[in-house]
Amino acid sequence: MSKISVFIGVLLVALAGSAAAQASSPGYYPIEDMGIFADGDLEVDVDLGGAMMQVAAGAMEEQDESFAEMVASLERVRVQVGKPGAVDPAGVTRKIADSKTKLESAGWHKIISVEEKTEQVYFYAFERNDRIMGLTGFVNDAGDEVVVINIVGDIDPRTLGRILANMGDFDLEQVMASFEQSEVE
Amino acid sequence: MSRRVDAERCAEVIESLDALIEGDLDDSEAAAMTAHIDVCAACQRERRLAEELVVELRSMPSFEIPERVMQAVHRVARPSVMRTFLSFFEGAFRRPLPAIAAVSAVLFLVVVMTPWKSNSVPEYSDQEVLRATDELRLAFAYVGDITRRAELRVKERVFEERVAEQTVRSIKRSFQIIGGVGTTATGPAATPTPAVKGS
Repeated sequence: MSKISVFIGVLLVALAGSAAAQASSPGYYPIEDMGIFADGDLEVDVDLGGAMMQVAAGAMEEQDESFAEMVASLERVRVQVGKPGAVDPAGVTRKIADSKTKLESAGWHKIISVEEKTEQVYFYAFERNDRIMGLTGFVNDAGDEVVVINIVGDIDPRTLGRILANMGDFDLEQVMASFEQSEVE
Repeated sequence: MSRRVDAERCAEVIESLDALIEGDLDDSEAAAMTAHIDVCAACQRERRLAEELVVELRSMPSFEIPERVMQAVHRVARPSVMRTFLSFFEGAFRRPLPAIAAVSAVLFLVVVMTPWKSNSVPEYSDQEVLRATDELRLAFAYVGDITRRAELRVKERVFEERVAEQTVRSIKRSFQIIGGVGTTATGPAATPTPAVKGS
């Protein structure tokens, strides 16, 4: 019986190792651990990954082939949006600064940086073999709205650029409204 | 002598225990083995252990093994290779079932730790898929929003610092020059600033 216990123990360790391996994908950044948002702060909390990503990519194929193609190569997409700054705007700025330091020391490259009194925008990319393996972005609109994004997976910069260019005329408010509508339904 | 015969018989029984448990032996073989096990405390212990192991293995969650892994297993599981493989474990465990358990564990580890993209996709409802696609669009809408905000800021900075401010300075200088040669300047230099900001 003791051998069975050892055998099962080995399997459990293997499973735990597998979970840790997924969390430590090169483009992964633990945005949840930043501690920016408290309970009730979040207006948008997206966390998609695994098989669902493939299913969603398949569903999008007919409408937007290049978008579907890029989504299929992603491992995980997380977006958190909220208004945490009312309580402690300086704390939000400090936590984003800490994250910037961590990303830079972990080999991430800053690709967008806007620092103004009322707004800070940062976007970082993790590259390996000339491919983007992860994107992490922060927007701090004077604490009024904070956006944190982490996209993990093999991201082709040209495809991403094309998708964003096609989104040129999009209206975030409109997308948001459509998203909220689908949530209600 | 009889102890040696018993030991040989025990070894034979233990080697065929998995076949006995799986019901793969014919009736006479099974009866002969059962007769030995009924009077042999060591083999009874081995059978109990083997049965527990089989129960444990069957109670483990099932997972779908991808075709390419199965093909690799079939290649490895050719009889002669399998014999060599089992004989390696026999030395360590002296029982085939633990060896099979070890092989299963290794296969399980390979399956769990290999980062392939499985062809099997769990079923989701249309509503779940619709929600996921909406969430993805929203996520990339935010990425677009971030890049657009940054682009606007850069444009504003470049425009204000390199174009608007220099234009205002240039116009002011022009009026100063004109004023210097005697023409009346009625302060239009102040007007470009709001026009620039508004543009």
